[in-house]
Amino acid sequence: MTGTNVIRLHNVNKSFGQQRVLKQLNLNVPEHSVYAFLGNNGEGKSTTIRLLTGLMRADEGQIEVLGLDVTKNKQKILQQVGTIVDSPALYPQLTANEFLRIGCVLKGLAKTEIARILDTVGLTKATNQKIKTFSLGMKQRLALAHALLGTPKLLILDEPTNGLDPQGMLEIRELIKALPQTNNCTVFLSSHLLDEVEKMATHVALLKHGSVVVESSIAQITQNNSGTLRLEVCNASKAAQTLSAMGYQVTEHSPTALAVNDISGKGTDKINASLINSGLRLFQSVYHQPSLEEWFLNATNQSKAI
Amino acid sequence: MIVKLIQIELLKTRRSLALLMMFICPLLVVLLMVMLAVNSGASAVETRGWTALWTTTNALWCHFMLPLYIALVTTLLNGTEHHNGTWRLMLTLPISTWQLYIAKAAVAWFFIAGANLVLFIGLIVGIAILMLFGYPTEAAFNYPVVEQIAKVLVTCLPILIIQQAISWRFSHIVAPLAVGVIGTMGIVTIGSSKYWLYYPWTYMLMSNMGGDIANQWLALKLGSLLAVVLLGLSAWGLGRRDCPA
Repeated sequence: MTGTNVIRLHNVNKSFGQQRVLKQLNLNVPEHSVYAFLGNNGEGKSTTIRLLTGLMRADEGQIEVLGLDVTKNKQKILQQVGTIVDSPALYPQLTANEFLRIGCVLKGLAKTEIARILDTVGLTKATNQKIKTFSLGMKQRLALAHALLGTPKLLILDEPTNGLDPQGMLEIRELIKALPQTNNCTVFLSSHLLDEVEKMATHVALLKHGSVVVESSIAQITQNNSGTLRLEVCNASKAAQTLSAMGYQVTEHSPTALAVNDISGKGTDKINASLINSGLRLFQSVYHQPSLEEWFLNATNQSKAI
Repeated sequence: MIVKLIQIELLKTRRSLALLMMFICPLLVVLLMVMLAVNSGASAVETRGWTALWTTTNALWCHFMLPLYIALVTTLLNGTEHHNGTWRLMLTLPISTWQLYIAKAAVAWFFIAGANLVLFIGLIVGIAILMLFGYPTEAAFNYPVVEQIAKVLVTCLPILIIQQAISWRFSHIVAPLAVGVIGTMGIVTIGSSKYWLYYPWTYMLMSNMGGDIANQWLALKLGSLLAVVLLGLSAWGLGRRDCPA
Protein backbone atom coordinates (compact mmCIF):
# COMPACT_ATOMS: atom_id res chain seq x y z
CA MET A 1 0.00 0.00 0.00
CA THR A 2 1.25 3.50 -0.80
CA GLY A 3 1.78 5.09 2.63
CA THR A 4 -1.54 4.69 4.40
CA ASN A 5 -3.68 5.34 1.34
CA VAL A 6 -6.31 2.71 0.67
CA ILE A 7 -7.23 4.23 -2.68
CA ARG A 8 -4.79 6.03 -4.94
CA LEU A 9 -5.63 7.46 -8.33
CA HIS A 10 -2.82 9.03 -10.31
CA ASN A 11 -3.44 11.09 -13.46
CA VAL A 12 -6.49 9.08 -14.46
CA ASN A 13 -8.23 9.94 -17.73
CA LYS A 14 -11.50 8.53 -19.03
CA SER A 15 -13.47 9.54 -22.11
CA PHE A 16 -16.73 8.41 -23.64
CA GLY A 17 -16.32 9.05 -27.35
CA GLN A 18 -15.34 12.68 -27.71
CA GLN A 19 -16.47 13.58 -24.20
CA ARG A 20 -13.65 13.61 -21.68
CA VAL A 21 -15.19 12.79 -18.30
CA LEU A 22 -12.13 12.50 -16.08
CA LYS A 23 -9.07 14.67 -16.62
CA GLN A 24 -5.82 13.89 -14.83
CA LEU A 25 -7.75 12.81 -11.76
CA ASN A 26 -5.68 12.38 -8.60
CA LEU A 27 -7.11 11.03 -5.37
CA ASN A 28 -5.65 9.73 -2.12
CA VAL A 29 -7.96 8.09 0.40
CA PRO A 30 -6.37 7.56 3.83
CA GLU A 31 -6.88 4.33 5.72
CA HIS A 32 -9.70 4.25 8.31
CA SER A 33 -11.26 7.45 6.99
CA VAL A 34 -14.82 8.16 5.95
CA TYR A 35 -14.01 9.85 2.67
CA ALA A 36 -16.76 11.80 0.93
CA PHE A 37 -16.53 12.35 -2.79
CA LEU A 38 -18.52 15.44 -3.70
CA GLY A 39 -19.50 17.03 -6.97
CA ASN A 40 -22.47 18.09 -9.01
CA ASN A 41 -24.26 15.69 -11.34
CA GLY A 42 -22.26 14.78 -14.42
CA GLU A 43 -18.90 15.71 -12.90
CA GLY A 44 -17.62 12.11 -13.01
CA LYS A 45 -18.35 10.73 -9.53
CA SER A 46 -20.08 7.56 -10.74
CA THR A 47 -17.43 7.04 -13.43
CA THR A 48 -14.74 7.23 -10.75
CA ILE A 49 -16.60 4.67 -8.63
CA ARG A 50 -16.97 2.38 -11.66
CA LEU A 51 -13.23 2.65 -12.29
CA LEU A 52 -12.46 1.83 -8.64
CA THR A 53 -14.69 -1.25 -8.73
CA GLY A 54 -13.35 -2.48 -12.06
CA LEU A 55 -16.66 -2.02 -13.89
CA MET A 56 -14.82 0.25 -16.33
CA ARG A 57 -11.27 0.60 -17.49
CA ALA A 58 -9.41 3.91 -17.43
CA ASP A 59 -7.98 5.21 -20.70
CA GLU A 60 -4.82 6.37 -18.94
CA GLY A 61 -3.43 6.62 -15.43
CA GLN A 62 -2.91 4.42 -12.43
CA ILE A 63 -5.59 3.15 -10.07
CA GLU A 64 -4.60 1.37 -6.87
CA VAL A 65 -7.06 -0.05 -4.38
CA LEU A 66 -5.75 -1.65 -1.17
CA GLY A 67 -2.28 -1.29 -2.65
CA LEU A 68 -3.07 -3.33 -5.76
CA ASP A 69 -3.52 -2.32 -9.38
CA VAL A 70 -7.25 -2.60 -10.23
CA THR A 71 -6.75 -3.81 -13.79
CA LYS A 72 -4.45 -6.66 -12.77
CA ASN A 73 -5.94 -7.71 -9.41
CA LYS A 74 -9.67 -7.04 -9.77
CA GLN A 75 -10.88 -10.27 -8.13
CA LYS A 76 -8.39 -10.11 -5.28
CA ILE A 77 -9.43 -6.53 -4.53
CA LEU A 78 -13.17 -7.20 -4.78
CA GLN A 79 -12.84 -10.06 -2.27
CA GLN A 80 -12.03 -7.35 0.32
CA VAL A 81 -14.31 -4.57 -0.91
CA GLY A 82 -18.03 -4.00 -0.40
CA THR A 83 -19.83 -1.80 -2.91
CA ILE A 84 -23.06 -0.02 -3.74
CA VAL A 85 -22.77 1.43 -7.23
CA ASP A 86 -25.55 3.86 -8.27
CA SER A 87 -28.93 2.87 -6.83
CA PRO A 88 -29.38 -0.41 -4.90
CA ALA A 89 -29.20 -3.28 -7.42
CA LEU A 90 -31.44 -6.11 -6.17
CA TYR A 91 -33.44 -9.08 -7.46
CA PRO A 92 -37.07 -8.27 -6.57
CA GLN A 93 -38.35 -11.86 -6.74
CA LEU A 94 -35.82 -13.11 -4.16
CA THR A 95 -36.10 -12.86 -0.38
CA ALA A 96 -33.53 -10.91 1.65
CA ASN A 97 -31.95 -14.18 2.77
CA GLU A 98 -31.71 -15.54 -0.79
CA PHE A 99 -30.26 -12.25 -2.01
CA LEU A 100 -27.51 -12.18 0.61
CA ARG A 101 -26.68 -15.79 -0.20
CA ILE A 102 -25.32 -14.52 -3.55
CA GLY A 103 -22.55 -12.53 -1.88
CA CYS A 104 -22.00 -15.20 0.76
CA VAL A 105 -21.47 -18.01 -1.76
CA LEU A 106 -19.30 -15.97 -4.13
CA LYS A 107 -17.14 -14.56 -1.32
CA GLY A 108 -16.87 -17.99 0.32
CA LEU A 109 -18.52 -16.94 3.60
CA ALA A 110 -20.49 -19.00 6.11
CA LYS A 111 -24.30 -18.83 5.94
CA THR A 112 -24.37 -17.55 9.54
CA GLU A 113 -22.98 -14.28 8.19
CA ILE A 114 -26.43 -13.54 6.68
CA ALA A 115 -28.20 -13.43 10.06
CA ARG A 116 -25.42 -11.29 11.57
CA ILE A 117 -25.48 -8.76 8.76
CA LEU A 118 -29.29 -8.54 8.65
CA ASP A 119 -29.20 -7.80 12.36
CA THR A 120 -26.57 -5.09 11.80
CA VAL A 121 -28.80 -3.22 9.32
CA GLY A 122 -32.01 -3.90 11.24
CA LEU A 123 -33.67 -6.22 8.72
CA THR A 124 -33.87 -9.43 10.78
CA LYS A 125 -37.68 -9.43 10.62
CA ALA A 126 -37.60 -9.19 6.83
CA THR A 127 -35.29 -12.22 6.34
CA ASN A 128 -37.84 -14.24 4.40
CA GLN A 129 -39.70 -11.32 2.86
CA LYS A 130 -39.55 -10.82 -0.90
CA ILE A 131 -37.52 -7.78 -1.92
CA LYS A 132 -40.31 -6.51 -4.19
CA THR A 133 -42.36 -5.78 -1.06
CA PHE A 134 -39.56 -3.69 0.50
CA SER A 135 -39.69 0.09 0.89
CA LEU A 136 -36.90 2.15 -0.70
CA GLY A 137 -35.27 2.52 2.70
CA MET A 138 -35.31 -1.24 3.29
CA LYS A 139 -33.80 -1.79 -0.15
CA GLN A 140 -31.04 0.67 0.68
CA ARG A 141 -30.34 -1.17 3.94
CA LEU A 142 -30.29 -4.52 2.16
CA ALA A 143 -27.83 -3.20 -0.43
CA LEU A 144 -25.68 -1.93 2.44
CA ALA A 145 -25.97 -5.33 4.13
CA HIS A 146 -24.69 -6.96 0.93
CA ALA A 147 -21.79 -4.53 0.81
CA LEU A 148 -20.93 -5.28 4.47
CA LEU A 149 -20.81 -9.07 3.96
CA GLY A 150 -17.52 -10.57 5.09
CA THR A 151 -16.28 -7.47 6.96
CA PRO A 152 -14.63 -5.75 3.98
CA LYS A 153 -11.51 -3.60 4.35
CA LEU A 154 -12.99 -0.96 2.08
CA LEU A 155 -16.57 0.12 1.43
CA ILE A 156 -17.36 2.03 -1.75
CA LEU A 157 -20.83 3.52 -1.44
CA ASP A 158 -22.69 5.62 -3.96
CA GLU A 159 -25.31 7.77 -2.21
CA PRO A 160 -25.75 5.39 0.75
CA THR A 161 -28.47 7.38 2.52
CA ASN A 162 -30.47 8.15 -0.61
CA GLY A 163 -34.19 7.51 -0.18
CA LEU A 164 -34.05 6.94 3.55
CA ASP A 165 -36.39 8.61 6.03
CA PRO A 166 -34.77 10.84 8.72
CA GLN A 167 -34.65 7.97 11.24
CA GLY A 168 -33.16 5.62 8.63
CA MET A 169 -30.64 8.29 7.62
CA LEU A 170 -29.58 8.70 11.22
CA GLU A 171 -29.15 4.94 11.73
CA ILE A 172 -27.18 4.41 8.51
CA ARG A 173 -25.08 7.50 9.20
CA GLU A 174 -24.19 6.28 12.67
CA LEU A 175 -23.42 2.82 11.24
CA ILE A 176 -21.12 4.26 8.54
CA LYS A 177 -19.47 6.62 11.00
CA ALA A 178 -18.67 3.75 13.34
CA LEU A 179 -17.37 1.38 10.64
CA PRO A 180 -13.71 2.49 10.69
CA GLN A 181 -13.59 1.61 14.41
CA THR A 182 -15.95 -1.39 14.57
CA ASN A 183 -14.94 -3.08 11.30
CA ASN A 184 -11.46 -1.63 10.92
CA CYS A 185 -12.37 -0.47 7.43
CA THR A 186 -12.27 2.62 5.24
CA VAL A 187 -15.42 4.12 3.72
CA PHE A 188 -15.39 5.91 0.37
CA LEU A 189 -18.76 7.45 -0.38
CA SER A 190 -20.31 9.83 -2.83
CA SER A 191 -23.27 11.93 -1.80
CA HIS A 192 -25.31 14.97 -2.66
CA LEU A 193 -26.52 15.34 0.91
CA LEU A 194 -23.86 17.71 2.21
CA ASP A 195 -25.45 17.97 5.61
CA GLU A 196 -25.16 14.18 5.95
CA VAL A 197 -21.57 14.19 4.70
CA GLU A 198 -20.63 16.86 7.21
CA LYS A 199 -21.96 14.66 10.01
CA MET A 200 -20.17 11.47 9.04
CA ALA A 201 -17.13 12.20 6.85
CA THR A 202 -13.59 12.74 8.06
CA HIS A 203 -12.27 13.73 4.62
CA VAL A 204 -13.73 15.26 1.47
CA ALA A 205 -12.75 15.69 -2.15
CA LEU A 206 -14.52 18.01 -4.53
CA LEU A 207 -14.77 16.97 -8.15
CA LYS A 208 -15.24 19.63 -10.79
CA HIS A 209 -15.10 19.10 -14.56
CA GLY A 210 -13.48 15.69 -14.07
CA SER A 211 -10.68 16.81 -11.76
CA VAL A 212 -10.35 17.09 -7.99
CA VAL A 213 -10.24 20.78 -7.14
CA VAL A 214 -10.10 20.38 -3.35
CA GLU A 215 -9.04 17.38 -1.27
CA SER A 216 -8.88 17.87 2.47
CA SER A 217 -9.89 16.65 5.90
CA ILE A 218 -13.09 18.06 7.38
CA ALA A 219 -11.06 19.32 10.36
CA GLN A 220 -8.80 21.29 8.06
CA ILE A 221 -11.73 22.80 6.18
CA THR A 222 -13.32 23.86 9.45
CA GLN A 223 -10.04 25.33 10.62
CA ASN A 224 -9.34 27.19 7.39
CA ASN A 225 -12.90 28.28 6.78
CA SER A 226 -13.34 31.75 8.20
CA GLY A 227 -16.77 32.75 9.48
CA THR A 228 -18.74 35.82 10.43
CA LEU A 229 -19.31 37.34 13.87
CA ARG A 230 -22.65 39.12 14.18
CA LEU A 231 -22.77 41.74 16.90
CA GLU A 232 -25.45 43.84 18.52
CA VAL A 233 -24.09 46.87 20.39
CA CYS A 234 -25.34 50.22 21.67
CA ASN A 235 -23.41 52.14 18.97
CA ALA A 236 -22.54 50.27 15.78
CA SER A 237 -20.49 53.03 14.12
CA LYS A 238 -18.22 53.43 17.18
CA ALA A 239 -17.80 49.66 17.34
CA ALA A 240 -16.99 49.58 13.63
CA GLN A 241 -14.33 52.24 14.09
CA THR A 242 -12.75 50.34 16.99
CA LEU A 243 -12.67 47.05 15.10
CA SER A 244 -11.48 48.58 11.82
CA ALA A 245 -8.59 50.15 13.72
CA MET A 246 -7.71 46.65 14.89
CA GLY A 247 -7.61 45.48 11.25
CA TYR A 248 -10.92 43.59 11.01
CA GLN A 249 -13.28 43.71 8.01
CA VAL A 250 -16.50 45.20 9.33
CA THR A 251 -19.94 45.70 7.76
CA GLU A 252 -22.52 47.93 9.43
CA HIS A 253 -26.10 46.73 9.08
CA SER A 254 -28.00 49.18 11.34
CA PRO A 255 -27.21 51.74 14.09
CA THR A 256 -26.94 48.83 16.53
CA ALA A 257 -25.94 45.84 14.37
CA LEU A 258 -22.71 45.01 12.57
CA ALA A 259 -20.80 41.99 11.29
CA VAL A 260 -17.13 41.12 11.42
CA ASN A 261 -16.17 39.04 8.37
CA ASP A 262 -13.43 36.52 7.65
CA ILE A 263 -12.49 35.59 11.19
CA SER A 264 -11.92 32.27 12.87
CA GLY A 265 -14.05 31.12 15.80
CA LYS A 266 -11.06 31.55 18.13
CA GLY A 267 -10.93 35.34 17.52
CA THR A 268 -14.36 36.11 18.91
CA ASP A 269 -13.31 36.45 22.56
CA LYS A 270 -10.71 39.06 21.67
CA ILE A 271 -13.28 41.14 19.73
CA ASN A 272 -15.89 40.96 22.48
CA ALA A 273 -13.33 42.02 25.09
CA SER A 274 -12.09 44.94 22.94
CA LEU A 275 -15.62 46.30 22.50
CA ILE A 276 -16.37 46.13 26.22
CA ASN A 277 -13.02 47.69 27.11
CA SER A 278 -13.74 50.60 24.76
CA GLY A 279 -16.89 51.39 26.80
CA LEU A 280 -19.48 49.92 24.44
CA ARG A 281 -22.39 47.85 25.67
CA LEU A 282 -22.50 44.45 23.96
CA PHE A 283 -26.01 42.93 23.70
CA GLN A 284 -25.32 39.91 21.47
CA SER A 285 -22.36 38.19 19.85
CA VAL A 286 -23.04 35.24 17.54
CA TYR A 287 -20.37 33.44 15.53
CA HIS A 288 -21.48 31.76 12.29
CA GLN A 289 -19.25 28.99 10.94
CA PRO A 290 -19.97 28.27 7.23
CA SER A 291 -21.47 24.80 6.67
CA LEU A 292 -20.01 22.25 4.27
CA GLU A 293 -22.78 23.21 1.88
CA GLU A 294 -21.62 26.84 1.91
CA TRP A 295 -18.02 25.69 1.51
CA PHE A 296 -19.07 23.45 -1.37
CA LEU A 297 -20.98 26.23 -3.14
CA ASN A 298 -18.12 28.62 -2.58
CA ALA A 299 -15.54 26.11 -3.84
CA THR A 300 -17.57 25.14 -6.93
CA ASN A 301 -18.12 28.82 -7.81
CA GLN A 302 -14.45 29.64 -7.32
CA SER A 303 -13.39 26.74 -9.50
CA LYS A 304 -15.45 28.09 -12.40
CA ALA A 305 -12.70 30.63 -12.76
CA ILE A 306 -10.00 27.93 -12.80
CA MET B 1 -16.04 -20.68 -9.17
CA ILE B 2 -18.10 -21.60 -12.26
CA VAL B 3 -20.01 -24.22 -10.21
CA LYS B 4 -20.74 -21.65 -7.47
CA LEU B 5 -21.85 -19.16 -10.10
CA ILE B 6 -24.17 -21.72 -11.70
CA GLN B 7 -25.71 -22.34 -8.25
CA ILE B 8 -26.23 -18.61 -7.84
CA GLU B 9 -27.67 -18.22 -11.33
CA LEU B 10 -30.11 -21.04 -10.59
CA LEU B 11 -31.01 -19.37 -7.28
CA LYS B 12 -31.81 -16.17 -9.16
CA THR B 13 -34.32 -17.99 -11.37
CA ARG B 14 -36.56 -18.78 -8.37
CA ARG B 15 -40.09 -17.45 -8.95
CA SER B 16 -38.91 -16.09 -12.32
CA LEU B 17 -40.67 -15.93 -15.67
CA ALA B 18 -37.80 -17.92 -17.20
CA LEU B 19 -38.68 -20.87 -14.96
CA LEU B 20 -42.38 -20.61 -15.77
CA MET B 21 -41.68 -20.52 -19.50
CA MET B 22 -39.67 -23.74 -19.22
CA PHE B 23 -43.01 -25.45 -18.56
CA ILE B 24 -45.35 -23.33 -20.65
CA CYS B 25 -43.52 -23.46 -24.02
CA PRO B 26 -43.21 -27.27 -24.32
CA LEU B 27 -46.63 -27.88 -22.79
CA LEU B 28 -48.20 -25.63 -25.43
CA VAL B 29 -46.73 -27.88 -28.12
CA VAL B 30 -47.95 -31.01 -26.29
CA LEU B 31 -51.41 -29.52 -25.87
CA LEU B 32 -51.60 -28.65 -29.57
CA MET B 33 -50.46 -32.11 -30.67
CA VAL B 34 -52.81 -33.94 -28.29
CA MET B 35 -55.70 -31.78 -29.49
CA LEU B 36 -54.81 -32.61 -33.11
CA ALA B 37 -54.78 -36.31 -32.19
CA VAL B 38 -58.19 -35.93 -30.56
CA ASN B 39 -59.46 -34.14 -33.65
CA SER B 40 -58.15 -36.90 -35.97
CA GLY B 41 -59.65 -39.61 -33.81
CA ALA B 42 -58.38 -42.98 -32.63
CA SER B 43 -58.71 -44.53 -36.09
CA ALA B 44 -56.17 -42.09 -37.56
CA VAL B 45 -53.65 -43.08 -34.89
CA GLU B 46 -54.42 -46.74 -35.62
CA THR B 47 -53.67 -46.20 -39.31
CA ARG B 48 -50.54 -44.05 -38.99
CA GLY B 49 -49.24 -45.30 -35.65
CA TRP B 50 -48.01 -43.26 -32.71
CA THR B 51 -44.66 -42.60 -34.40
CA ALA B 52 -46.36 -39.97 -36.57
CA LEU B 53 -47.43 -38.05 -33.44
CA TRP B 54 -43.96 -38.29 -31.92
CA THR B 55 -42.26 -37.17 -35.15
CA THR B 56 -44.67 -34.29 -35.77
CA THR B 57 -44.28 -33.10 -32.19
CA ASN B 58 -40.51 -33.22 -32.47
CA ALA B 59 -40.61 -31.39 -35.81
CA LEU B 60 -42.85 -28.63 -34.47
CA TRP B 61 -40.59 -28.34 -31.43
CA CYS B 62 -37.32 -28.12 -33.40
CA HIS B 63 -38.76 -26.08 -36.28
CA PHE B 64 -40.57 -23.49 -34.30
CA MET B 65 -40.94 -23.52 -30.52
CA LEU B 66 -37.45 -24.52 -29.36
CA PRO B 67 -35.52 -21.84 -31.32
CA LEU B 68 -37.99 -19.25 -30.04
CA TYR B 69 -37.73 -20.66 -26.53
CA ILE B 70 -33.92 -20.39 -26.67
CA ALA B 71 -34.22 -16.71 -27.64
CA LEU B 72 -36.75 -16.17 -24.86
CA VAL B 73 -34.86 -17.93 -22.09
CA THR B 74 -31.55 -16.19 -22.80
CA THR B 75 -33.36 -12.84 -23.04
CA LEU B 76 -35.05 -13.42 -19.69
CA LEU B 77 -31.93 -14.66 -17.90
CA ASN B 78 -29.86 -11.68 -19.04
CA GLY B 79 -32.80 -9.28 -19.02
CA THR B 80 -33.19 -9.58 -15.27
CA GLU B 81 -29.68 -8.13 -14.87
CA HIS B 82 -30.33 -5.33 -17.38
CA HIS B 83 -33.72 -4.52 -15.87
CA ASN B 84 -32.62 -4.46 -12.22
CA GLY B 85 -29.18 -2.96 -12.86
CA THR B 86 -27.67 -5.99 -11.18
CA TRP B 87 -24.74 -6.31 -13.58
CA ARG B 88 -22.98 -3.84 -11.30
CA LEU B 89 -23.80 -5.99 -8.29
CA MET B 90 -22.56 -9.22 -9.87
CA LEU B 91 -19.50 -7.71 -11.51
CA THR B 92 -18.33 -6.06 -8.30
CA LEU B 93 -18.15 -9.48 -6.64
CA PRO B 94 -14.88 -11.43 -6.86
CA ILE B 95 -15.68 -13.13 -10.17
CA SER B 96 -14.56 -12.69 -13.78
CA THR B 97 -16.90 -11.40 -16.45
CA TRP B 98 -16.26 -14.45 -18.62
CA GLN B 99 -17.12 -16.76 -15.70
CA LEU B 100 -20.49 -15.07 -15.27
CA TYR B 101 -21.06 -15.24 -19.03
CA ILE B 102 -20.38 -18.96 -19.14
CA ALA B 103 -22.47 -19.62 -16.00
CA LYS B 104 -25.42 -17.84 -17.58
CA ALA B 105 -25.02 -19.83 -20.80
CA ALA B 106 -24.86 -23.05 -18.73
CA VAL B 107 -28.06 -22.19 -16.88
CA ALA B 108 -29.81 -21.39 -20.17
CA TRP B 109 -28.66 -24.81 -21.40
CA PHE B 110 -30.11 -26.48 -18.27
CA PHE B 111 -33.39 -24.73 -18.95
CA ILE B 112 -33.36 -26.01 -22.54
CA ALA B 113 -32.72 -29.53 -21.24
CA GLY B 114 -35.58 -29.04 -18.77
CA ALA B 115 -37.92 -27.82 -21.52
CA ASN B 116 -37.06 -30.90 -23.64
CA LEU B 117 -37.81 -33.16 -20.69
CA VAL B 118 -41.11 -31.39 -20.05
CA LEU B 119 -41.98 -31.80 -23.75
CA PHE B 120 -41.41 -35.54 -23.82
CA ILE B 121 -42.83 -36.23 -20.36
CA GLY B 122 -45.85 -34.12 -21.31
CA LEU B 123 -46.29 -36.08 -24.51
CA ILE B 124 -46.02 -39.40 -22.68
CA VAL B 125 -48.70 -38.25 -20.23
CA GLY B 126 -50.84 -36.97 -23.14
CA ILE B 127 -50.60 -40.28 -24.98
CA ALA B 128 -51.35 -42.19 -21.77
CA ILE B 129 -54.50 -40.10 -21.26
CA LEU B 130 -55.57 -40.73 -24.88
CA MET B 131 -55.05 -44.46 -24.34
CA LEU B 132 -57.45 -44.30 -21.41
CA PHE B 133 -60.04 -43.02 -23.87
CA GLY B 134 -59.72 -45.97 -26.22
CA TYR B 135 -56.77 -44.95 -28.38
CA PRO B 136 -54.50 -47.80 -29.56
CA THR B 137 -51.88 -48.97 -27.07
CA GLU B 138 -49.55 -50.68 -29.52
CA ALA B 139 -46.01 -49.19 -29.79
CA ALA B 140 -47.18 -46.01 -28.13
CA PHE B 141 -43.86 -45.21 -26.49
CA ASN B 142 -41.56 -46.74 -29.08
CA TYR B 143 -39.61 -43.56 -29.81
CA PRO B 144 -35.89 -42.79 -29.13
CA VAL B 145 -36.59 -39.95 -26.69
CA VAL B 146 -33.20 -39.93 -24.97
CA GLU B 147 -31.34 -39.93 -28.30
CA GLN B 148 -33.47 -37.05 -29.60
CA ILE B 149 -32.91 -34.97 -26.48
CA ALA B 150 -29.16 -35.66 -26.54
CA LYS B 151 -28.91 -34.55 -30.18
CA VAL B 152 -30.92 -31.39 -29.55
CA LEU B 153 -28.81 -30.48 -26.53
CA VAL B 154 -25.66 -30.58 -28.67
CA THR B 155 -27.01 -28.92 -31.80
CA CYS B 156 -28.81 -26.12 -29.92
CA LEU B 157 -25.49 -24.85 -28.56
CA PRO B 158 -24.48 -22.50 -31.43
CA ILE B 159 -27.78 -20.60 -31.39
CA LEU B 160 -27.82 -20.66 -27.60
CA ILE B 161 -24.45 -18.89 -27.60
CA ILE B 162 -25.48 -16.43 -30.33
CA GLN B 163 -28.62 -15.56 -28.37
CA GLN B 164 -26.70 -15.42 -25.08
CA ALA B 165 -24.14 -12.99 -26.53
CA ILE B 166 -26.82 -10.70 -27.97
CA SER B 167 -28.93 -10.78 -24.78
CA TRP B 168 -25.85 -9.96 -22.70
CA ARG B 169 -24.75 -7.14 -24.98
CA PHE B 170 -28.10 -5.40 -25.57
CA SER B 171 -30.22 -4.19 -22.67
CA HIS B 172 -33.39 -4.00 -24.77
CA ILE B 173 -35.27 -7.24 -25.35
CA VAL B 174 -36.04 -6.37 -28.97
CA ALA B 175 -32.57 -7.21 -30.31
CA PRO B 176 -32.30 -10.82 -29.03
CA LEU B 177 -35.96 -11.60 -29.67
CA ALA B 178 -35.79 -10.22 -33.22
CA VAL B 179 -32.73 -12.35 -33.95
CA GLY B 180 -34.57 -15.36 -32.52
CA VAL B 181 -37.70 -14.78 -34.62
CA ILE B 182 -35.75 -14.08 -37.83
CA GLY B 183 -33.53 -17.11 -37.22
CA THR B 184 -36.58 -19.32 -36.67
CA MET B 185 -38.32 -18.03 -39.78
CA GLY B 186 -35.44 -19.16 -41.98
CA ILE B 187 -35.37 -22.75 -40.72
CA VAL B 188 -37.98 -24.15 -43.14
CA THR B 189 -36.56 -22.52 -46.28
CA ILE B 190 -32.85 -22.89 -45.58
CA GLY B 191 -33.26 -26.28 -43.85
CA SER B 192 -34.54 -27.81 -47.09
CA SER B 193 -31.70 -26.36 -49.19
CA LYS B 194 -28.04 -27.31 -49.53
CA TYR B 195 -27.09 -24.17 -47.57
CA TRP B 196 -28.38 -25.49 -44.22
CA LEU B 197 -24.75 -25.99 -43.17
CA TYR B 198 -24.31 -22.23 -42.89
CA TYR B 199 -27.43 -21.69 -40.82
CA PRO B 200 -27.05 -22.90 -37.19
CA TRP B 201 -30.81 -22.66 -36.56
CA THR B 202 -31.29 -25.73 -38.80
CA TYR B 203 -28.87 -27.99 -36.89
CA MET B 204 -31.43 -29.17 -34.30
CA LEU B 205 -33.83 -30.21 -37.02
CA MET B 206 -31.14 -31.75 -39.23
CA SER B 207 -29.68 -33.82 -36.38
CA ASN B 208 -33.13 -35.32 -35.73
CA MET B 209 -34.70 -35.47 -39.15
CA GLY B 210 -31.93 -34.63 -41.56
CA GLY B 211 -32.67 -37.55 -43.87
CA ASP B 212 -29.54 -39.66 -44.08
CA ILE B 213 -27.29 -40.48 -41.16
CA ALA B 214 -24.37 -38.53 -42.70
CA ASN B 215 -26.34 -35.28 -42.52
CA GLN B 216 -27.38 -35.98 -38.94
CA TRP B 217 -23.76 -36.55 -37.94
CA LEU B 218 -22.65 -33.48 -39.85
CA ALA B 219 -25.18 -31.36 -37.97
CA LEU B 220 -23.89 -32.75 -34.68
CA LYS B 221 -20.24 -32.14 -35.58
CA LEU B 222 -20.90 -28.65 -36.92
CA GLY B 223 -23.00 -27.81 -33.89
CA SER B 224 -20.31 -28.80 -31.39
CA LEU B 225 -17.46 -27.21 -33.32
CA LEU B 226 -19.27 -23.93 -33.90
CA ALA B 227 -20.36 -23.85 -30.25
CA VAL B 228 -16.78 -24.09 -29.01
CA VAL B 229 -15.60 -21.36 -31.40
CA LEU B 230 -18.52 -19.03 -30.65
CA LEU B 231 -18.27 -19.53 -26.89
CA GLY B 232 -14.56 -18.77 -26.88
CA LEU B 233 -14.91 -15.70 -29.08
CA SER B 234 -17.94 -14.24 -27.32
CA ALA B 235 -16.62 -14.86 -23.78
CA TRP B 236 -13.32 -13.23 -24.73
CA GLY B 237 -14.93 -10.29 -26.55
CA LEU B 238 -17.62 -9.52 -23.98
CA GLY B 239 -15.22 -10.06 -21.08
CA ARG B 240 -13.07 -7.23 -22.44
CA ARG B 241 -15.95 -4.76 -22.54
CA ASP B 242 -17.00 -2.46 -19.70
CA CYS B 243 -19.93 -3.51 -17.50
CA PRO B 244 -23.10 -3.88 -19.65
CA ALA B 245 -25.15 -1.56 -17.37
